[in-house]
Amino acid sequence: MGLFDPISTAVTGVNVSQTWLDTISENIANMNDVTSPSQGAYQTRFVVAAAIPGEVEGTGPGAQAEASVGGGSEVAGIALGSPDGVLEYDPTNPLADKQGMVRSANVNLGDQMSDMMMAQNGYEANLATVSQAEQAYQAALGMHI
Amino acid sequence: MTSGMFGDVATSAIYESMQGLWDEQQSVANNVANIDTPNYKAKDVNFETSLAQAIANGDPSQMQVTTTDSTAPSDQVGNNVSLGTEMVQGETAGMQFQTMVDAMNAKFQLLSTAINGPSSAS
Repeated sequence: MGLFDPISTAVTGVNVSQTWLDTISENIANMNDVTSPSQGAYQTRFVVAAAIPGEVEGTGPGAQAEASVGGGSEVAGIALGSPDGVLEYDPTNPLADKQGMVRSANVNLGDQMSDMMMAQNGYEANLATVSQAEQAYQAALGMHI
Repeated sequence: MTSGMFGDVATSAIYESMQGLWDEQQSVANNVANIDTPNYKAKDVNFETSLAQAIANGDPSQMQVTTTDSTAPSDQVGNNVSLGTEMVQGETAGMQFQTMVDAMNAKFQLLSTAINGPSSAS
């Protein structure tokens, strides 16, 4: 058992939420991107979260149990959405082809906004566990004869 | 074996229970960190049953912490972490930990009284 394990575990969750928020801002910032139809549109970014398995420390009877608790979460990768986008008729656009079509990004703003709320809630929830663990530390530090 | 320092079952039981509660805090932190992880199942920590058995046997250090996957229903991505449950569990474990600290302090107080006499009790 590391000394500040619950706090470092909570930090892994905060980092995943942070990456998720970064990704959402990138998606929203690029939602109006336009390319010519011969090129791929902006691909929506998706964060892939995965659990970090616990590490077995020591050989005591509690070692195995602690290993199965787990060490938090991490970003396993960023998945990309479809590059198809949406074909739109916009003949005045310099990127338009002979038919006057352009390819614009297909970012779903509703999905992004609800994801943003989930990421924010996750961020706050992880910080709440930090303060819970901190209270326990404070109690332990208050032990005295 | 940490009870050697004081040698009595009560001190050792308090120590072991703090270990178990600490694992519970760690589990809460881990479950909350994975609140949006697909296919993650919340983990429940149990040490009370084992500790009660170990105390009955006279050696609390035999306590074993066990972890089981929660059987609560999962959401559409296969995750079954309930934030409310975790927050309550974290808060409960924290208060229990505080109680164990108070109990340990009481044991120290007795020790201090035995060593220095009643006047040093503060």
